[in-house]
Amino acid sequence: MKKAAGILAGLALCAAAAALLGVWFGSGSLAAGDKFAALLDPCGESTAHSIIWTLRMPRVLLALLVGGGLAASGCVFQGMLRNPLADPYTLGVSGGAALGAALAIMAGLGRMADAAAVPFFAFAGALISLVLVYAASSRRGFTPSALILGGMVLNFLLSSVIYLLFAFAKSSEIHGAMNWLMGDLGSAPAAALPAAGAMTLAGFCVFMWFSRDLNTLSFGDEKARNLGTPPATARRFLFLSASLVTGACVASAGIIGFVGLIIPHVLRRVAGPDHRVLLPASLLGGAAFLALSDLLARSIPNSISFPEFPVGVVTGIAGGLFLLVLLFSGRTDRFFS
Amino acid sequence: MNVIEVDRACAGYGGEPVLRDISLSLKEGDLAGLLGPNGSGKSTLFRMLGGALKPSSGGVRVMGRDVSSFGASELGRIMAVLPQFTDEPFGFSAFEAACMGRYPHSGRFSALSARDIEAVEEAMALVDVIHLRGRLMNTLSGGERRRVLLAQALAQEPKILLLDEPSAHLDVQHQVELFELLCKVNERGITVLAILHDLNLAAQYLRRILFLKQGAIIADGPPAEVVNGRLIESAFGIRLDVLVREGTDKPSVLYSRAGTSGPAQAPIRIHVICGGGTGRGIMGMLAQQGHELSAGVLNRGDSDEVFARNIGAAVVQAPPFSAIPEEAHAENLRLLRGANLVILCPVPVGPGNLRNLEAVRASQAGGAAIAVLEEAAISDHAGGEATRILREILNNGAARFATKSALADYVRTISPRRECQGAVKN
Repeated sequence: MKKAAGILAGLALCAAAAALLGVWFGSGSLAAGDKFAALLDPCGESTAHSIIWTLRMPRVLLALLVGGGLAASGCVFQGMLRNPLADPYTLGVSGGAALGAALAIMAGLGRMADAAAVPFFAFAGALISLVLVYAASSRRGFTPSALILGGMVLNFLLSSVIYLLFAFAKSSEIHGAMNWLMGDLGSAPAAALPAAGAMTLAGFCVFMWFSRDLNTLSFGDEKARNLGTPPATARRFLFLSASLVTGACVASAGIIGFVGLIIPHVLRRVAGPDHRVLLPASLLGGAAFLALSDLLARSIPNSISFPEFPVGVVTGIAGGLFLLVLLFSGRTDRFFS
Repeated sequence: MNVIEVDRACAGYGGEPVLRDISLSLKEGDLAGLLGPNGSGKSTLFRMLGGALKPSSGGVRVMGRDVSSFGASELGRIMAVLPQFTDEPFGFSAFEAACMGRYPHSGRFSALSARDIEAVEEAMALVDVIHLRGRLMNTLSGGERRRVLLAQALAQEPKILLLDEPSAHLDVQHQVELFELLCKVNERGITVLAILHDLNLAAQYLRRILFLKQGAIIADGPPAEVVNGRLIESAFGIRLDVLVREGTDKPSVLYSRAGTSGPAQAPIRIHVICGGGTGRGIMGMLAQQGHELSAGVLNRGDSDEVFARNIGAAVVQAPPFSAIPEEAHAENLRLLRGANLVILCPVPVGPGNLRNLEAVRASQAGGAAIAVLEEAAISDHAGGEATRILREILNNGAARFATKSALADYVRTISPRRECQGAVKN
């Protein structure tokens, strides 16, 4: 327990440090002294102040939120599906969200004036796919295979529909949609942060309530039941809450890959497999990881294709390389089993 | 007190029910095995007992309460289940896995108390997995993992232990140790019901055996009463020899590949005149050779009578402590007439069973082959009459054998057509 508390405290420090770095560095040159002064005084009125508190801070907070939400729900999906390769997108949420966002962008709703339409459409799409997978799996007792099958079918179907839409779209719209599809922390409207924050917090409470059930479910339904977990009920709540958290994250930041897959794995090595510790660890670790990834993405010079470098590319490359190193190092004991 | 009661329950997975109108009760302190062919409904019965499968009709009560009335953790404190199939949990060490057995006893977020850790360590020591405590579950062998899961179940400190094939994946040493462990656990007052496939281990260690076939219980009782060739044939559809080792009442099953070590000879009909335990040795040997045995007349409850029934022999019975009645005598004569060989065991002969000797003489007169085992040991308590009849039988050409094995060797040379076949009248 002491060890777990230490790990969580360490991760919280990492997340705080990442957040601080995120607001400290960025485009535009500010004097260190100005930045320091602005940080200490949230109600100030200087230029440094407005850059840090109105431009960088919401973005960093969104990165923390989305990173934490994706990693925690990835951890839930891996646990409840008993599948180390599951991630938040396995069960079809991302497919619906992507289609919703693509529709909004192609309908011309992606411009700054009504930017709120894209997250709104994305979240609506996520909800629709959630309902479909729920309906398809409920008759089979929410077994892992029923859920995975439903989610995969939906993902394939919806991504094909998106490519079909691309066939009729203007190239600028395709660019906009691609940007969103690869993850974009920069274009969320201000209202997205509190909405997604509330949903992630509520979802995380459900995760924690069922955290011990995730441990027992790893032995199979029969043993889990004997240890006090009603398997179908637990998976139903976990599926709904994790899908909503994922939907909220995707709606506000697009589809950022790899965070939800790799962070739980890395932290399983550090914090152990007990979900009561692993879930908060994933939340904190994912937050730190995405805040740092976003900082890196922002520091890459802009190109014509991307007004801003997609953070999903950074997480993909950084996470992928990290995983490769781990695989080659042969130290895969708690990692993949 | 009955810890589990199943009352005329039907259960299944939609469509045809797997369990049909099944009733059974487990008494506190039972050490019972559930045997039966694959697909007979053993695991389904377990799922129903564990509350995972609701019976479509009838009821299941645990500690006198309907099983569905228990809270999720409440049942886990009373009954621990070791399922046949478990998933391989990723990342958990053996100790962490065993600790989960304490979940039903503790709150969602509570850390393990000293008492919890004590229970876990005791369970791990019992199952001999203490040395594996730091190993990850997915690096353990199948048998080791199975034992860790058993420790997890014991850490639940249940009153009832349901084990679905606990000996699967275990080597011989650990199989034997498992059964010793079950006995030890049972001595502590835990009621044990285990699904098993090893008839021999089950018969050696368990006090009660239930046979399930096509969703119904076809036998239920102590091994000495239910494990016999006839039952095995009706449950599994194959013929196996069942022996009872001398000096025990534990049946054991002999596997032999037909044509190699089994009886090369065709089975013959043998009738055995015995009583008071004089016939069980030779009957066991002959049953092993695959012969069709009958015995009589025997008093009910006589050790030879119990043994003969256990190995599936036809037995002519008489009430205990009484002389042979007319109907039994007639039935005995009928069986004697149909036999290829009649064996007379060294039985004390008194007025009560003198008729058996007379029956042997009568069958000899009818042409039956008679074998007399250890004739010197046949004692006469009938005032010389027994000795007279015996001498007559011997003088008329009965074969004499000083030992059971000599007799068994002789039987091996008999074919159903040779010897007395011509004398069988019917």
